[in-house]
Amino acid sequence: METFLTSVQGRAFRMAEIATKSRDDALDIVQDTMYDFVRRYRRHDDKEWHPLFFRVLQNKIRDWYRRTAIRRRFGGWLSLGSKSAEPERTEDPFDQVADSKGKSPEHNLELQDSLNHLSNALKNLPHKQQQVFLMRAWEGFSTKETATIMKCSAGTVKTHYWRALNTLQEKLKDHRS
Amino acid sequence: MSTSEEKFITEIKKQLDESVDNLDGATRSRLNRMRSQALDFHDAKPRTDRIWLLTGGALLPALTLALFVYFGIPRQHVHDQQTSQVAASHQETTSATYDLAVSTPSPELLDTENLKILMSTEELEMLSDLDFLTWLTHENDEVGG
Repeated sequence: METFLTSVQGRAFRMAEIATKSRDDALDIVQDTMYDFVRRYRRHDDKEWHPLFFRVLQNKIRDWYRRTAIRRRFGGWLSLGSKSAEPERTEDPFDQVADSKGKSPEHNLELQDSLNHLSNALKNLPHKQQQVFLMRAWEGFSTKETATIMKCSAGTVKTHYWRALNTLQEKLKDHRS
Repeated sequence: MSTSEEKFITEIKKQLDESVDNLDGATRSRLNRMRSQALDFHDAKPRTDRIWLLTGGALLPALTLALFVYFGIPRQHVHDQQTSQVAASHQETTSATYDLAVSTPSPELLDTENLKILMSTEELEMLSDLDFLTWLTHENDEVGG
């Protein structure tokens, strides 16, 4: 279980970050996903873990969208979701630790630039298109598996994937190597 | 899927994988701690379940014993007392009644059987049947004679 979680945690975080556009919200989503996944599926066959983990992740992202939508709608009246209402975070000492990955600053800059473009393009996609694309293209799930994970039909997956692919190709054509 | 699409997707995958490989130290450490906490939390949970199971397992026999002591022994005591009283009273009158009282396991049963005998319609019928009585006397006379 630990090896499996180690292998997916980074990708799960990136997916949640692309969906929420917030590092902290993404970390919260991944944490909830891990707790829920371990609680519910640790006794399942490990071959089933991959789609199950991403199904839980997608549920958490969907819940986040719903909560955010409610906050946006009623937040103005009730002061919900305002920064002042949130408990103050204690500073994480690990935030101060330097990144030990020994890559050159130029490489990192270049990588960061292309990543920023990709990230922005992905973040600007409609939620379903974005997540369907990540499930299909990055995680390598089939149309059927993606449909089960996303709780929609295979036809919807195909449509979203095709639209996402076209939009990304259009937006990233100038940044492709 | 066309070759250009495949190439495009491979490129995106590569970039996304690199973005994971290049996660900053703080995020990586947070993710590692979350993973450990999730695993530790659920590993520790069955232990608490086991504690409850053990506590329940120890309490159940104790409760059974307590119930047995509370309801079982006084009943037995009353039963013995009643049986001996019945036996003693009957011993004074007839030995047949004494046998009945001693052999009868419980006073409730004793009362029921006495009632059955007293209430029995068979015996009344038998007593009222004069032909039967005549026959019975005749039989007894023959056996005795």
